[in-house]
Amino acid sequence: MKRISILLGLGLLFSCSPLKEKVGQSAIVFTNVNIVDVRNGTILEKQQVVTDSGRIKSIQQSIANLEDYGTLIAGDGKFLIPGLAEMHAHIPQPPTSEERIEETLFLYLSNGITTIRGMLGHPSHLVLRDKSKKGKILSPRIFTSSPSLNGNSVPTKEEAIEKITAYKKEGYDFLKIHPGIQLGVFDQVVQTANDVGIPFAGHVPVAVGIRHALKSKYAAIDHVDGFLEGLVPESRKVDPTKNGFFGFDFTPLADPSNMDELVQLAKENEVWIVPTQSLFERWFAPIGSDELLQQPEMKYMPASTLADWKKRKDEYTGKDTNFDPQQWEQFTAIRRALIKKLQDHGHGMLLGSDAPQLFNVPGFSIHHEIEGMHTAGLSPLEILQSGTLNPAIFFGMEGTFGEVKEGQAADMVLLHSNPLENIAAFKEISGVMVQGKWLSQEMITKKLEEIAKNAIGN
Amino acid sequence: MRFSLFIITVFLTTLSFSQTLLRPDRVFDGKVLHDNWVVLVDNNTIAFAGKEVDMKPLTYTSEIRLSGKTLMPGLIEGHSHLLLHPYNETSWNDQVLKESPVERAIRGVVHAKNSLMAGVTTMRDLGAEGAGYSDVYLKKAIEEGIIPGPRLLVAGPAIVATGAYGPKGFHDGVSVPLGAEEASGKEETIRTVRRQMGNGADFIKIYADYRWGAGEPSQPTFSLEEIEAMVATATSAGRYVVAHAGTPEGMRRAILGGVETIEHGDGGTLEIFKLMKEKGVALCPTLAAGDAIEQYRGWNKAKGPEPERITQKKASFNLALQAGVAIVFGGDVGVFTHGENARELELMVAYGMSTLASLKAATSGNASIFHLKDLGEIKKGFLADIIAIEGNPLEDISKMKDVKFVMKDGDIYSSE
Repeated sequence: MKRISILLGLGLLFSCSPLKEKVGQSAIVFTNVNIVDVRNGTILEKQQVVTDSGRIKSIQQSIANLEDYGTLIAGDGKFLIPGLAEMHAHIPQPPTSEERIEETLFLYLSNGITTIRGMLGHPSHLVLRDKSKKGKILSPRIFTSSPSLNGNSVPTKEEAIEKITAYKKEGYDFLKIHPGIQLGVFDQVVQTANDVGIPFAGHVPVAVGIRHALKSKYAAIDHVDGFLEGLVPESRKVDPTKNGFFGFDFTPLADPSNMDELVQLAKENEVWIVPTQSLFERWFAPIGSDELLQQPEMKYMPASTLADWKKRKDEYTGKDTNFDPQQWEQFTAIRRALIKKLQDHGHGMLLGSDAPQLFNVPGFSIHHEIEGMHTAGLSPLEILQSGTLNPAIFFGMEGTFGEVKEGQAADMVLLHSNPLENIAAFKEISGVMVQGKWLSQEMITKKLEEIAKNAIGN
Repeated sequence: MRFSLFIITVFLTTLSFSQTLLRPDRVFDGKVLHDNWVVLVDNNTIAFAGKEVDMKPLTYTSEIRLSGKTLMPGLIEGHSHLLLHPYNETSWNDQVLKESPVERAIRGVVHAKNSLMAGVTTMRDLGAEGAGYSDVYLKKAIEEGIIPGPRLLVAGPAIVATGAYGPKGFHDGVSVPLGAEEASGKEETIRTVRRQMGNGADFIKIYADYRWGAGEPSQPTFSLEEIEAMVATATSAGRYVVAHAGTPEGMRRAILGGVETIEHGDGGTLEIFKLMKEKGVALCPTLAAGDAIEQYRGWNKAKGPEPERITQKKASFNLALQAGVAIVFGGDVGVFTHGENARELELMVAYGMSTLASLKAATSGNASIFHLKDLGEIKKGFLADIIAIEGNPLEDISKMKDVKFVMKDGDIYSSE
């Protein structure tokens, strides 16, 4: 990572130092574009944004020799935001074909996602991450978790030490915690992770519980996992393993007045939250699977995947299950209140929908997540920050990406209207720039058509 | 107008003693959505609801195609005032002081029809607001088939603590027709409950808190003992009590006193909502009333900043959902235009309920909370109160404004 950025930095120096006004053919300029400042929500109007060699080279009021630039993109009336991060992404792995993997990466890009945090690592993802860094494939910036640490993969402390040490050495960005880990083993995971210097994130095993998890300083807890269980008063003496889907079965026992304590713990221990609320408003929600299948974005998924999604959703929430929509209302109200409180008084939020996961088509699902966060009461600016600035801070790369600023990565989305006024604007994309490469609306549409065509037969 | 009445008459005659098959695109049965269902209406009841292949014997005398539409139970409005009209037309004070009960009843006739045409086939009317027992007589006129309107459950005059209710602002020598009947102490409150039931009230509405002075915040009114006395009197007569309440203490007394629903509940805290959940008391949030009143006060909903009252209402509504309180569909229609009942559904969804839950509340949910045994579902043996909506309201709740077909008690009142 460090080596790459030094190389890029050198490249930047060479390209711009001696010839101040002269520019290479590779430079691209967004003209008269409105820049959204994600730190404070202000709009910098009618700016000329010059990018070259994957970086934002300059931002100016005017450029004298505009005709010298290779490519001009008319930004009049449009809004430039930093590329978004999908902080709970899944990257396919073999036996999925290389072609489909690259299609998946493109689906993210097509919706303005220029950074993904892969949540179930595989050795092939390290190769993919490397290719992406070197610009050998068209892909968002990739961060990848280790393979899953769960009750089966790390049944003992010894195995935890061994695996974590290996994952660190192999170069995974962080450890993925899954359910099932026993308390003693979990504490070993934490200790070894700290010893070898690798962050851990993901689920909260029931044997660990939210309070201990927060105090153990997860880098991030995904799905708001464990919080609902943590609202159940101890006096209820529940069997923690009977919590159901993300605590759903404990809903009637949850006491929302315990929220503040948990939120405060998240803040004190600097634990980020990735809500993946989209899952809970689509897959695990009183909506028929057929209704979701009718959504236009479903055409980008292979037919076999869609059939599997339908089957699994029907098993959870179908007519013949005892899924209780009334309880779901309460469950969802509690989750939304938690998300709002975690935003207002917790450490911070990261935008992540969990894709591809049931009915979450990569890229497209980010808009459902944005809606979910908005319904929970987050402002458009807070949501935008959760997908840009916060991920950069989270990865210790503030100043490298996540803002439209000179010197930062040329990862940007051009929108037709101001997303701070209406979150629907996030869907109205005029084009996406990733690592300085411009993907126009036309190019995106054409590529999506191809993907849809390929999906039919699979 | 005359033409549509003519059509209604024709339908009424042709439908008598006949079996009609309704064939929509989909059926929301009050609980879940079904594709490819048909519904057979026999006289005034539902004889079959399900897939056509399962229907035996396969006979019916007429068929109505409802292409592109969603068929569902008629709406059960939970909080209406047929004897009020929007406050931006005439203030509440002026309606009570200047419009005679006769004028208000005439208006009520039109309101009843507009409600029915909007798909409301049952209505719980929450007080005549100074028009005596006009609601009881409106109900009678509808039941006797003199005028079209929903099935009504009426409160009559409602009961307030002495001195608490308006219109206010007159010196003590002026005798003002009040918006509800006053009572104090166990004996008098019991007597008032009995009188109102005797005069035709289907349930009793009390005001557990109110503004003692104009412009003041609300304060509790009745004591717990008074509320308990009224509840005991009503329940021993097979009726129940509902309470207007918005302060935590007013709500607490009403809940502990044994009322069945809390109306408005704006200032509810998590503790209060947890108590409601525990005691099985439902909340009728009347979101559309607050939304309308803020707009009458000048809120530009499209552009203006959200008023404090709306922000607070969203927050307290969300607390009620977190506590798992059952929600009644009821918008306080009358504060806004009769026939626009769907505004409440839109707001329930906008404030955080799912479309499915909001539609359930407006059908099977309200039926169960209001003890209506054979209403609120599309199910064999249930009364044929059926409406059809253009498109699919489960996908877009605003479709509920587009009611294309209304049947009440087997009679068709509106059909494209």
